[in-house]
Amino acid sequence: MILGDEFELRHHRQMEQRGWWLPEHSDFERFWEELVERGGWVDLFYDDTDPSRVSRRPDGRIALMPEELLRFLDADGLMGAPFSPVSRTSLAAAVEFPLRLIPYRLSTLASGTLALERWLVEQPSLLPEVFWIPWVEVSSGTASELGVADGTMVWVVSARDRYRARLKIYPGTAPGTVCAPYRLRHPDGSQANPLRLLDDSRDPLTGLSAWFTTQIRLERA
Amino acid sequence: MTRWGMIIDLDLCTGCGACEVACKSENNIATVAPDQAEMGRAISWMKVQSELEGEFPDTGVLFTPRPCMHCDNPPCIKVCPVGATYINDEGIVGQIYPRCIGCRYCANACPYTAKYFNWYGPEWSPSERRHLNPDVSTRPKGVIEKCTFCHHRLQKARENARVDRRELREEDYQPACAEICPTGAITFGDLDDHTHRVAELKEDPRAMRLMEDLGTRPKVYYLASRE
Repeated sequence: MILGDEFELRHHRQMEQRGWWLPEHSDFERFWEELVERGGWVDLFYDDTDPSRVSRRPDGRIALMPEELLRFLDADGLMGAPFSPVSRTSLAAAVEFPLRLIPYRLSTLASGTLALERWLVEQPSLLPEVFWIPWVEVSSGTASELGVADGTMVWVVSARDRYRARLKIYPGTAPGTVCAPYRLRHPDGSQANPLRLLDDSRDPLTGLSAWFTTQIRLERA
Repeated sequence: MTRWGMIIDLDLCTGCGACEVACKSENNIATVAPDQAEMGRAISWMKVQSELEGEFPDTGVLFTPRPCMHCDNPPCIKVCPVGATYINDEGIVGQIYPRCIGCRYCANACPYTAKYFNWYGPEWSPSERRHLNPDVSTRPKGVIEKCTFCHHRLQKARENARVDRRELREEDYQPACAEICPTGAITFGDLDDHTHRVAELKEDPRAMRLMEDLGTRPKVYYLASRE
């Protein structure tokens, strides 16, 4: 009893006085009619320590993965897939595209309807501080390996497409990765969409595009 | 005597920037061209400044929202040759745009860099023009502008209280930044009225003001981060 026996007793009496105690019904429709008529329902003898009340499994455990999904995964031989690691890039691809692209959504442009709002586009981010121009973020180590300084305009190139952006050095970025916000465009209207660079990788469970497997390189623009 | 002031709890600030955007929307703050922004001419009466520490994966950041400090001893007033900037009886430091000659002495005198110069006249697209706040005048080319603690809201709140025949309540007058803050990091009210939360919060052991040693006596207090 969370609030003590005395409170629970009074609470139960109050529920009974209101007529909210509805003994079990075998017929749901009748139960529902009574519930609507009385305005509420309470089960005074509900035992929340009894797992059989919420679990249909014989061992009383609760299955977090629905049976239907388990059947689907089993039939397609994907039972272990959600937990398998991301496939590693081939050596040749790693040489040509040594960096991993991490597209992300800006909180200021999260709704997707405000990308033309000048107040937001002028200063879309506090970290790093940028104005108007689409950008990508790299760590200082990655920038020095590439020989580019903060503020340099670069091409972000994948096997599928490329776009132009300003390079910003941000210490919160993992080495070897390039964080790229989407829903931005240049002041002249040209697109700067990192999602167009994504490879064909798919999440095996959902079939949706895998966003964090694309390898890219940066070139001076 | 009323002394309007603000308390900003740095532990609660997440750096979302909502205060900046709300301020720009409320006060008809014009955007500047990309090349001008690169030169540091973007106008942001409320500016969230950030301080980064460490490298990945041990990166820490401290956000500090910075409006005008509305100093009790404001250096900007002392250098203005034409009396365009002033402090009123309730401690709000204001700017009279038609009087300003654009000398920018005040912007240079302000140690908090809270004043902004209009290098060009504001330009509004037709859709933006429809959204302008009719309670706030737009600023022409060649004048200084700054945070006003949204004092147009104070005038409106006073009028409403008078119509309702009651005293002005704490919640009646809140600047846009304090109203919008999703974490409640910004508290606003009368620093001398002990029924207002700011009066209590300014006595908090964590309370401090920026550059107190300059003697400017800001009315914006910060509750310093515990970490």
